[in-house]
Amino acid sequence: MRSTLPQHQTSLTGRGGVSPHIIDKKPRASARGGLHITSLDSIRPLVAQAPSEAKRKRSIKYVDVRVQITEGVGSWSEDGAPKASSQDWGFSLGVRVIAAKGIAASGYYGRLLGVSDFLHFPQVLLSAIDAASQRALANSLHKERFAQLMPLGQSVTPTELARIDIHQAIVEAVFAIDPRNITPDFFSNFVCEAGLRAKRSHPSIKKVEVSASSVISRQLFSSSEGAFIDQSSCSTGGTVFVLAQNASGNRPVDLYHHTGNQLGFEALSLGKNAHKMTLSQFARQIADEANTLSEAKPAPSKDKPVVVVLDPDLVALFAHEIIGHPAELDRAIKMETGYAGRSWFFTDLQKSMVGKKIGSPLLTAFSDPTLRGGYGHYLYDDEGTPAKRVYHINKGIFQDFLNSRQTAAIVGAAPNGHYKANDASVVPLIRMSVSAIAPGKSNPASIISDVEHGYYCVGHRIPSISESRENFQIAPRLIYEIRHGRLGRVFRDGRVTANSKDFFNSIDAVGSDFTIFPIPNCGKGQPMQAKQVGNGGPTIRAQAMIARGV
Amino acid sequence: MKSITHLTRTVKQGLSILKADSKVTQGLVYASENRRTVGRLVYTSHIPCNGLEELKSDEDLGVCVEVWFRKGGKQLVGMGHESSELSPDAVRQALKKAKRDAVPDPDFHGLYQPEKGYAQGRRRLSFHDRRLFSLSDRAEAKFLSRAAWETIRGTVHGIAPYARKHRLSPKQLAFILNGDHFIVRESMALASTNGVVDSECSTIVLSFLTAMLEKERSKGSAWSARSSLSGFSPYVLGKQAARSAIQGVGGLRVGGGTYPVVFGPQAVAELFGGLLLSHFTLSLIDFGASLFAGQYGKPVASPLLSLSDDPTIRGGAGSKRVSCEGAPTARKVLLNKGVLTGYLSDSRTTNKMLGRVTEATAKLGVSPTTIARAIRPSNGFRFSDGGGRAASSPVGTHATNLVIDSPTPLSMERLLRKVQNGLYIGRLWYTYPVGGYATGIISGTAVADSYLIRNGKLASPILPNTLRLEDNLARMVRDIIGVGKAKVPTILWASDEITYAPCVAVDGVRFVSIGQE
Repeated sequence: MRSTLPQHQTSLTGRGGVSPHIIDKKPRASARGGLHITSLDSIRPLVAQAPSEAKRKRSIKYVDVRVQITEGVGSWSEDGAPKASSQDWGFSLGVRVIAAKGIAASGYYGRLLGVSDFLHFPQVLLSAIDAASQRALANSLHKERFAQLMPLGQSVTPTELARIDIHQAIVEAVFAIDPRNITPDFFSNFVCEAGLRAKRSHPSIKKVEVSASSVISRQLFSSSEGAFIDQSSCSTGGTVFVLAQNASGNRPVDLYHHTGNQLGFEALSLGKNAHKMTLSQFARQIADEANTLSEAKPAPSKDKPVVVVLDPDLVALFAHEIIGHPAELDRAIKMETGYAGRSWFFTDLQKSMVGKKIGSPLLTAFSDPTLRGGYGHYLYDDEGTPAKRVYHINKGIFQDFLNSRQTAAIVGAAPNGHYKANDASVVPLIRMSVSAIAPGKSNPASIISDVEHGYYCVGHRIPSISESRENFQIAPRLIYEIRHGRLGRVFRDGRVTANSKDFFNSIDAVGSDFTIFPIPNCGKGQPMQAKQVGNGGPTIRAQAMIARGV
Repeated sequence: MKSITHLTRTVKQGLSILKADSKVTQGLVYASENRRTVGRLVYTSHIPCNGLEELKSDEDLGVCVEVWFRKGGKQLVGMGHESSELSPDAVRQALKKAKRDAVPDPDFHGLYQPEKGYAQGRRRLSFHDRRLFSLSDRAEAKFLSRAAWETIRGTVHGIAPYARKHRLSPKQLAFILNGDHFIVRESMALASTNGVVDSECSTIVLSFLTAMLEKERSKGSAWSARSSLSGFSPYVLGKQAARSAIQGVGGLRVGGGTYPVVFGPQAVAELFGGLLLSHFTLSLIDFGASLFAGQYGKPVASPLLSLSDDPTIRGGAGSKRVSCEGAPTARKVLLNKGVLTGYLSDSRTTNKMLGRVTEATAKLGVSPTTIARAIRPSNGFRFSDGGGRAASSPVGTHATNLVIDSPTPLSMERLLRKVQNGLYIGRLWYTYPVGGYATGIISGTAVADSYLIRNGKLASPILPNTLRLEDNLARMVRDIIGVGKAKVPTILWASDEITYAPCVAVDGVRFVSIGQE
């Protein structure tokens, strides 16, 4: 299958369809000067064929290979002065092998590569497959011994991947302004300008740091089952850090926030992002907020639930932390117990929240990689599974988890395409795509004006969530008091806190203003991978407590 | 992996390339190779699993060039990197990128300048295990696979008597083992026009295990952090994890309120390494968000608390002989009996403070020119990707071995007696500065290894995930009432440093009861 491409996309390479039978081409670096995403053209046949070749060995059950090149530019400024700038490329390789000398087990190998590796790519790839195979075989032998000898060995089972339809596809990146055409000098000036505008906005603004990047990435994925996905995407975003302190010496306010999109430079230069602002306008907004907060009183403590109205920017973090994360199947089946935590949606194979009411009938939430707007868009995940929408909560009833082929096989589900890695050298994990609370029908303005007394919580800041995501404390950037339907005083440093289920059940209004935001740094894995995803939602009204602001 | 001689040859050849460029005022060549190998464990008695879930590695090799040079009447600074190559051509390519991408940073005043007597003062300490550097791919696969399955075997041996005693089937037992063995091998060499030529290899062997009897809601931990395979016993670690989980059975729910608390080593690492440490970095002081802004030389914590970064600990998992800028490492005292005495810094930040004396004086509380030792740039490292000193990363400020100490350390018994009635919190989770850095407001949950303290002794276990810490870090360090004697090398998920963590007792810690069913 060849993917259907959106009409507004720009072709990068003019490359043709997949030709897995061409194997005689040698890798070519266009110059010693470096690699480009188009360099992958010359190794496509090799990458397509290698897993099937490797699987010819009797003990090898499955092989997949990922190869990725990223090109881009990044800059950092402080108070409008340049600090660093860089234009570079990255080349990475990752291999997974499932082998059986005893019980089937997996082994992985990853590496960051360079030009000379590219020029000798057939040997590099073979050696990587060999290393992963040795690991899978060593693992398999020990696994067999353990399962046979140990009293508690019955739960150790062969590594299996749930069946998927095998695809061969090309997915091209979408952009108007190609990140490869942006010079470091130009980008540095752009980032400095944004910082300077924010710094000069108010006397209270003591420090502004702005960092931004614009990249294009292309990954080849092939498997011994015949899958071959050639997928590209862009990502452009900027982060603003601001410190404000008023003249009366109140405690300083440090704020940071991020905007961007899976587009080219236009995401920041033309405001093609969730905030609908250029980087400069966005930096100014965060400075305005920090200035406002520098004069604000600490939020009051509310240890009984009060009415809270959350804006879409804050709802995005709620969707991320208390819906998206616990809906990851690896957490649910205890694979992240020591790191990212478990999930209160799932006890064991016999007992879970699937089909049970966990929230208000107004609450529907999903993950959908086919949506654009944040950083979670793709059409195939990192094991070639086609992306599709997964409903986690439908009208208050819990429905389904995000999964990988391996976790899907364990619970007997169909793979839904949420297995992704930061780059090809690291092992994929179950990840959110665009994970969001679905829009409702209410007018956002009336969601506030209907409130006699409550708090309007704006923008997301820093979360602290319980291990199974059953309880949370999430900091908005600003908290306004609502009195008689109108916004009043603004408070600083408060946090919205509740048990997740109580919060879900208390939702009594969902707005129509659905927006998807870019989340730049979702940490998971060992070693940790800080991944870009997308999260979103509309304005919602619910009940929660407010943690004290001092 | 490439030999250190190879890396050294690269940087020396690279240095002559920089020296031949008349426009280069100062320059540095840095070459590195890093390999991270992980055996990730997932064993569940009640859900199908793989045991050794991931046997994997990722690695990087490369060279970078940093240059400070004149162009068009401006002084520019830039960095360029070439991946997976160590040839003179790679250095030339990196130099080209560094020059192309350079910016006129007004605060950059040059690369690290070695102090007088630098060459004579070099110590020849080594913090690496040669056996790990000589492992072939095949031997490494066998070794890590065996270590991982030994750990699972140890855990299952630890938990099996409990299952037999309570006549539990594997499903009824609902036992979870999760964690990893993580081996980092790093080697680097650097040479600069300022006269620095140095190299170093280091190895880090980390293990972190979480065991849980899920139906009993009992969770325990076991871990180790070392610089070599010497003393590494995966089977014993597995058994320890099982024992910790069994000890937590019968956990009680504790009401919210304010308690005197003994924090165990993992919780201390989270509070001190994960949260407090950043407030001692010169960069956060410069940004203005440190809790300790303007307080050099003043008491900012309990006089019972001393804090230092010590890269020179023999056998220390975080030990390093030389920084990634070429500075010889040294113990840096950050807090001495509660008084602020030092900062972690790299040369760029230190030079920036020295270049803006008036502004820096306000931020530090004293002129930076008068506290050279306190702001000495010995913590500039290129830590990256969960382990490694990567040529692709710019220098940042990082701790190595964070040591928590006291002028009057107490035994565990005396610490518990001091608290009398309160809480022992063994492990915190997801503890973040939810009110921003500058306020000190933090929140996290007590996730494992926690107990009630009654009459000066550990009593009933506390149910995990039922207490949320909600307090202020600045207040907590002021209200420390005791620091333990025994310091345990402790790691945190995704942290760079190793925390040598004793138990620490703090008065008046605020917890909120959560997770009611």
